[in-house]
Amino acid sequence: MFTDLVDLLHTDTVQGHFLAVTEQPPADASFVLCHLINRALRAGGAVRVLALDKPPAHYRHLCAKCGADVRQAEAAGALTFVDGAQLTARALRSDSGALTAGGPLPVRAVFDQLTGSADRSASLLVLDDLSALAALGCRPADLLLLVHNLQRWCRRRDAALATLTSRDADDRTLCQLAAAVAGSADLAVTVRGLSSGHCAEVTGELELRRPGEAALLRQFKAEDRNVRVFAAGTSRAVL
Amino acid sequence: MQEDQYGDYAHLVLSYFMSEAVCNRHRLLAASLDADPSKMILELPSPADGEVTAVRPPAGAADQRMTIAWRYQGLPQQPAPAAGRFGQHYDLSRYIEKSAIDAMDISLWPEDEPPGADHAAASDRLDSLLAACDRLASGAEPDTAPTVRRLAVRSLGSPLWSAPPELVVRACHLLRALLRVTGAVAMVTVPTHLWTDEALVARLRRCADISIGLESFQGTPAAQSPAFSEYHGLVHVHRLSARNVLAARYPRHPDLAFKVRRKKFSVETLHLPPELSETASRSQEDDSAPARKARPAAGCQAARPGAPLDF
Repeated sequence: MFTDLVDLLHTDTVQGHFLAVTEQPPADASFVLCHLINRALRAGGAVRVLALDKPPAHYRHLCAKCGADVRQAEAAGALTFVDGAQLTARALRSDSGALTAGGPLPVRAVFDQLTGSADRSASLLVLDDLSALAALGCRPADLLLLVHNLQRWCRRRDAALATLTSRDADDRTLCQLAAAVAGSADLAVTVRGLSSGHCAEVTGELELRRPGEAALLRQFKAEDRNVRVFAAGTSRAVL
Repeated sequence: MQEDQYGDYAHLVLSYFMSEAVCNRHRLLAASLDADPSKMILELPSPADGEVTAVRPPAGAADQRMTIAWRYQGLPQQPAPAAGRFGQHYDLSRYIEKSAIDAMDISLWPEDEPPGADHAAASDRLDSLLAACDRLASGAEPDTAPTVRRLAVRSLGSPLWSAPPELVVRACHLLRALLRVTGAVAMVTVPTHLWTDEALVARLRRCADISIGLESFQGTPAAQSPAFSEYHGLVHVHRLSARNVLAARYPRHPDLAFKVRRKKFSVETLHLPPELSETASRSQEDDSAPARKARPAAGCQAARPGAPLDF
């Protein structure tokens, strides 16, 4: 578990909360999701992850790196992965069994996979990621409706929801989608690289925004098994 | 891979990818609508340190008993060149022998009709390509040991496809979903300079695990610039895989350039050439003019150099 992130996100993995994570390429925000999964598992909750952009193996590997017993959690039904690749390949096959690029991915299938057929009620749903769904032909309005329905489903069951959206400055639709999702969240986390370029001691910036509060800006350094978070200007390169 | 303006260099990199498949005896799919795939596979660069043979070298050949130089029997053996070794140096001036190509399990797409003769809808073409990829990636292995399957798609979404970019992006996502559940790897070159919507280019980059763009100097003022005289173009690394790590490791120097010599294509860190002109970089006149102009007048000195009042 990333101890520095615990202090920042400690109040936001409680039941009923919605956490919107946004990443700006080339930064990668899957470590925030891994942190949330680990925390939920340690608290004894059940987690259900739709791994669309990154494969389930990525999350298994990172969660195991951070100290979670992934194999046991999966065997006990506490951690369930929905492989987005298989979901896509299944949903977009024609009657003859061939893959077809002609139609969009049905959003309903995503909702059913995330919420349905769970052995036990999940305490955390993770959706990675909305921009991949948009690239697969889902309309932004449908995606917002999906997030809204997932949020309602989670509130009713006292579960937390975390979504990941990639936001590229060139893609205005995704920027609007990310802003809309972040606007309805209890905590919006933005992960981005350094605008000044490469630095050996700083991987990027974290921006945390809660409704009605000023944004909190931190820098982070991704190491092999840990993520160090510190105030801007206090990295090892400076001090 | 985002193609350069004329696609020459991107196709060259794709031929490296296909050569690697032939050298490692991987199953390969060569697909293109712009070029004849049966000709594409005949123009693959040959390994620089050996020839690819049609016959697989026997595994026990190295264990033969030496009768004369017996004292070298125990020394470690050099791996056989161009036979199952990952990562080779290739010689662009030589092609792999046709007999070696014929002995390989290479699939072509489209199989029979010449490129451009098919008047099917764009989505049907993409579906046909995905079906060919699916057949190769998910197909049962022949009698040999399981190997990586390589899919090489050249100029996906070019005007011959007549496919809207949204459809191409969706097809790439489907291809990635296919690769994730099979033991296959794909390299796709896309002429994104023909796309007008940058948002779709960004989505295309996003759907790949590794996204690289080539920018050629051909036909641009940069080709005449002395700063780029050593190189033929720039390499842009847009996205690197962050699989199983907390953050992707990007190169320390993001400015990369490539150059093509007679025998090889090489990528290097972009360096500006040293200043080697014979004349002094700051001649007396050149130096004095702007500097003295800025210098304020002091005492009995005129502000302008060479003025009659300067004594």
